[in-house]
Amino acid sequence: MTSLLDLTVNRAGLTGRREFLATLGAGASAGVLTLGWRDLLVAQAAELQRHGKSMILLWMDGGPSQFDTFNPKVGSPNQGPARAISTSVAGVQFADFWPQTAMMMDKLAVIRSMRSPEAEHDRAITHVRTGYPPTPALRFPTFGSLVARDREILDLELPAFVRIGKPRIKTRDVDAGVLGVKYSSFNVDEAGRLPPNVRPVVSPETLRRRLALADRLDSQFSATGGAKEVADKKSIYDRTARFVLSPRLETFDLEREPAPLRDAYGRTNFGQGCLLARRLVEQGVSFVEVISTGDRNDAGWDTHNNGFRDTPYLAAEVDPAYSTLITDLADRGMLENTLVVWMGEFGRTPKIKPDGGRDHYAKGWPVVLAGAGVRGGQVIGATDADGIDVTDRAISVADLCRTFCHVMGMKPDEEYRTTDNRPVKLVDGGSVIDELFT
Amino acid sequence: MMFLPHSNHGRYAGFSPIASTLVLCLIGLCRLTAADEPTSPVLTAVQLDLLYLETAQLEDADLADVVTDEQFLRRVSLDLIGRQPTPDELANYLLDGSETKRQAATERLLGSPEFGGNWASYWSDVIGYRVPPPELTFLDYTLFEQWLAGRINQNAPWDETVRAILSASGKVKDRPEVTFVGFHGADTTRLASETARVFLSLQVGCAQCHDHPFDEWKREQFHELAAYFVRASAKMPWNDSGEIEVKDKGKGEYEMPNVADPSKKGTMMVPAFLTGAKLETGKSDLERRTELAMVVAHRDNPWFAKAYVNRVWARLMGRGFYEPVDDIGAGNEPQLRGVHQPLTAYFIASGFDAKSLFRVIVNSRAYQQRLADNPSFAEKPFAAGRTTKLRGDEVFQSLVTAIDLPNVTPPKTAPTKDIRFPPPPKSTKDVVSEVFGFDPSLRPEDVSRTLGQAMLLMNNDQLQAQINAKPDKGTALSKLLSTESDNAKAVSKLFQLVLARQPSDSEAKIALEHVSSLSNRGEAFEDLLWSLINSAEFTTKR
Repeated sequence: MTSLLDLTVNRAGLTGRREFLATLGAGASAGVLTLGWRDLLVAQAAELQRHGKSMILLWMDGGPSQFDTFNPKVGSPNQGPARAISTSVAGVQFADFWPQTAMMMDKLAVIRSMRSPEAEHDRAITHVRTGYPPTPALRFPTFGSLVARDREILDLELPAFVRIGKPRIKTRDVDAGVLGVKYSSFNVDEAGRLPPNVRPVVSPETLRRRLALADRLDSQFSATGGAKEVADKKSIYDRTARFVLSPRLETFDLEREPAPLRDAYGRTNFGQGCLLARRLVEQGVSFVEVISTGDRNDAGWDTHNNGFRDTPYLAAEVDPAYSTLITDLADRGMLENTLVVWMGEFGRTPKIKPDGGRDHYAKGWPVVLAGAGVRGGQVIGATDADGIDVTDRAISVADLCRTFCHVMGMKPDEEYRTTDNRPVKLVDGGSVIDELFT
Repeated sequence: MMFLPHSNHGRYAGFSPIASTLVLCLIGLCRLTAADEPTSPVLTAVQLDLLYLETAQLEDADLADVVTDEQFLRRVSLDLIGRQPTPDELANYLLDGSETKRQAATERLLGSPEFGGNWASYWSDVIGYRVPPPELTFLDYTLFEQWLAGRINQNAPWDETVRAILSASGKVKDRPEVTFVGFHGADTTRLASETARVFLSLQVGCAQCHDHPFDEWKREQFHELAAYFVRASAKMPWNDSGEIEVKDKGKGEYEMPNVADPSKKGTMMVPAFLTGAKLETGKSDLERRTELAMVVAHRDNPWFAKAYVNRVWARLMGRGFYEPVDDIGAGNEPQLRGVHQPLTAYFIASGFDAKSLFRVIVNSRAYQQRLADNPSFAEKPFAAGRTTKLRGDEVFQSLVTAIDLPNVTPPKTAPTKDIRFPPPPKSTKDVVSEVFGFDPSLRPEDVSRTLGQAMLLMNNDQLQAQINAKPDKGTALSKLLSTESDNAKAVSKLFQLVLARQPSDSEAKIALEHVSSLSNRGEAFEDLLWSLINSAEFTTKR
């Protein structure tokens, strides 16, 4: 698989790095030089395998309705106009806005029983994205930043955490928080267009010449008390130069994909974002987030009003993109190492408002997983006939985050230190959702 | 307790200024009259240095040399007005032959309107980096910074300024001092936690849920503090933060939530400050917050002056007495306590005269030490200067000074039915400040350089347009090259423009070699200017 190969090629500077030493055990920190090359290779392989997994998060910004997606309640007054259709797995039905995704059901595991305490966007987003309930005392990092921290060792030309599309309301966003900007996402607002300042405005030769000159000029400051500043700067400039001069920037260029495939993903920002996500994962990027807001307005999946009008429109953006992504990953043999997660911050009320809208609801909301060892074709948990509450296998946000860690080879009980030196576990509590993998 | 005339009314039993009194007496500062009134107390830079040496256990000979005039002017300009000096300012300064030129430069900078602007931006960052953005309102700190800059330039006493910030009511656009309370949405617990952190450098936030593990704070104390804010309300309008209005709710008392069962009724709390000062229930919002402002911004509050002095010292010296600077609680061990205490006593006795505090620090030998340029200083951390990363606004102002970077603001988008919350456009200054900005309360070692910073200085098209040497572009570089045909002189001028200093011999050699290695003079100088802007030094105070 290309990404593994790339990782080997790009892997540099093994000694002294936190994760690597942790893998080798405490004895190794006495001196890596005493290890034979074979030990190194073995350790490296284990480490690579652990890091070989990637995750794509399809974020339904605003909170999608369970009735109108993957848990229709046929015959209930709460169902509304969306009808149920069958899927590629007998007995499992989706709402009829999802014809293409329905055909992927054999690869999907649908959780219908998420239960969480938060039903306000900002609080729910913080909880669901960080795994921790919101508190003013600490800005917990979003999961992608935890992955970026974990994958730091890989030292790729491309960032470990890429986010595609813009959150519908920026002020509700979560970021690297206490982990610091180092582990922030690299943001691509619009798939197919590189963000500003990435492409050099001069030729690569000129940029290299300038970088070399700047290095030489830094030496004076380095020798007169600026050694640490110069070393820090050099380290970030080396990484930046590798990125902006990398041939892999082509990864962001979607013109290289065949037009029919681009059409299949859908010519929407979300559709093209899913295609870009696949291209990035192919190049070894560990965590990609693609945001669905429907572009047309800032309500996104927050369908308080006119839900019957807006939900089909939103689903029409996601259905082709999501299903094509699953197929595309599977065709390339990448699905076994890529976890694809479809979710939002909560679901929507069973009760329908007069204009077809639904309000926020955090009981029995859906999450769909695929790939990376997840057994497809299964439904986990259930709600009652009217979709009011969970009747089977309630799953918490901590369970979900612990499961993400499990797939990504991260230890959920590992602690990082905040800037005020407080230890924080990657995930607090919860248990892995075992049936996903059996 | 004769130092502090208000300390005997019983509010602040815990504060003992004896140690600082002793130190000040030792160096001949005991000029207080028996009537308990300080008579223009003095702490000179020389006295500060004596305290510094004594506390750091250093001999005069241990200290690194004093910085050169060039280095001093850049350092003090960055610290006071937030940018490097222009070539003209540098030239005028170097021409000054007087022995007191450094003091004179300090006075000029303290008198500049840019001083207030720079430090208002610092405080706006201190507050703003911990304000969670509200749902549908875009917070704009410009009005607050303008208001605060005015106060700082008038040298309004710091206690009065903080009292205004804590007690004001009204709309942000009319009364920008309501920003702190308003932008926090008048949230009781956030304001309790942030008032203590921002103005007193106390971490009481953990006590919201449990007794503080290291410091002495009890959970009740946190909620008593929150009770001062219980009647404040702040309406969040859509989009425009200037319309946020802080006003009195007219009723209500504060309840501490029941931990055992949050659904049960909590305990009603009487507003009380960490030192024990209490207020009755039933008071109006104005009464509550005015009283809080009085007990917080008070000379007898053992943390108020100490916290301010710690922050200023940290920014000027590269490291606070306490780090992180927003934690001076009992659980945190300070460095150079013997300097911090007398500086604090001096700041209090001066009536919270901020400019005097800046003056005495930057005129000291301790401030003017060179960076540690050899390993022997590793053993003596106080015997040399430290580097500091420039804040976001400082990087922007330095780019304006060096290459006339224009501040362009794209047109504003009006809200529509479909897009109800169009983000406000970002000016060039916003972009640079955001990319280079950091929370000033972080420990210096926790502020890292980023990919985004490097990409901006490397590739940003607006910035690169200013690096163009073509004569018709009218850039600082093209003007310099057209008026200066001698390459060595042009190199020297370029260094002065960007780094506010002459190149060293070896730097001049490297630069001239580069110029002669390319056939196109303009291109060679473009490389050079780019390299200076992208040098580690340009974004560092040395």
